[in-house]
Amino acid sequence: MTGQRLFELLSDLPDDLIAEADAPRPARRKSPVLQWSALAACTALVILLGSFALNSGGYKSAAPIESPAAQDSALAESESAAKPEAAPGESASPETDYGLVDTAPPTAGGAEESPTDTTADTNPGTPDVPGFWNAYSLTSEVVTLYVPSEGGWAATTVTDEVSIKGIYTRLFISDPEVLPALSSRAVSVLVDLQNGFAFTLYADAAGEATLYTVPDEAALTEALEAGDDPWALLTETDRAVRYSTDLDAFVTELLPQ
Amino acid sequence: MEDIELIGLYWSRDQQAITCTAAQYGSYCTRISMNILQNHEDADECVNDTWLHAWNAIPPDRPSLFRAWLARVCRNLSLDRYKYLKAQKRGGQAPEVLFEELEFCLPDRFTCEDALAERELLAAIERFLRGCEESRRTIFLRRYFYGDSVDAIANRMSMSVGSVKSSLFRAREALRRQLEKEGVVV
Repeated sequence: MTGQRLFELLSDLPDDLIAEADAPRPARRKSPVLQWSALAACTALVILLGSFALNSGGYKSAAPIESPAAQDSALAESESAAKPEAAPGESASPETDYGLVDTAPPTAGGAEESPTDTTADTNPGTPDVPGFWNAYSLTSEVVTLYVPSEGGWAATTVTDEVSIKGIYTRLFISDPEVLPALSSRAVSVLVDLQNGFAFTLYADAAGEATLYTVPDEAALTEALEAGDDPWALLTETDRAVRYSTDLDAFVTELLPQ
Repeated sequence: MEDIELIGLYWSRDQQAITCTAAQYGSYCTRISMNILQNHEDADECVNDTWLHAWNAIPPDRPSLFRAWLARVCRNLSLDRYKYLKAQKRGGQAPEVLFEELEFCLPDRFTCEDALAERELLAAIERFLRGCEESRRTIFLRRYFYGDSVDAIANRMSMSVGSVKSSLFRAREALRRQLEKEGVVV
């Protein structure tokens, strides 16, 4: 059986299915008012979810809020203290402040993850629940906001194109067209609202995912406004978490059943 | 003119039936044929053969959905023409992309060597399509029955190209899973 034979075989599908696929569809044109309303609603949703995440006791640390740069610096120190002999990219501990490694599913085919597959940080006292997950598929153009709740994670799906564009901007991705060049897979962004920076997790063509930080949000905003490449201002962290499994499946596993 | 009137003309052996069918469904059938053959001359020839086939088949046939019936006839004639041209090494490569995409739906080492097995496969595909939500079913059929380009489907469905590609990818994956689950493997 070949694809060509299968294509030929579809000629024998019932008439009602063929006719249904040919039925005229009503035009789906949104008014500008509706588009702006959707953008406003999206912004409100992001703010609301962020507020919810902050007020839901997600952060356990009583440490004072540090700037992203300061926290990165402290993190680097903490890591070097925790794993002085660890080679770059080597996993030092299953712990992570964002629970990424802990909750990662096994790799495809049941294969064990190699030691270089994960790099976890051991920074003590950092929150174990971030602001929220923001996972979206580049191809489906469906954005799912994941917020921590008592039972695990709650998901809200956004399919409206304008809202998604707003979220792209919120996540420092001004031009979604640049993303396929970087990634052919799903992208997830972990936003730390308390400290005001984001980690971007994306899978490259080889199916590996890398974690990034935004060390200078103001500079990033300026770059976006000037039309410069925002990716130049993302910093790959040494807390890269690599998965060979599908990221959507990974995020789904985080959700309560 | 309503389809029932058109079919009435065929049954009364009125040659106006062909003229009216060509006027009503000419562009529709040409598009289907063009999607497969990518050549106006070959497509026109297939469309004319479609009218001839309709003239010969009605009566005794009395299609309940004439538009879909014509689409099927035109598609089959275009595929026959495609195979002929390919054997002559004069065929285009356009449908090859569709074939490759569809091949993804077939489980590994899938063979389907007799007509009975093909019937079973077709029935499984029909069950799959009826179980899909309407928009996904439409996108799948626009692509793999009508041979529409992704851009054309996106335009028709008022969706982005990315959404259409995603829907097709997910549909192919789901169909493959269903075929594996149902064990439609001979």
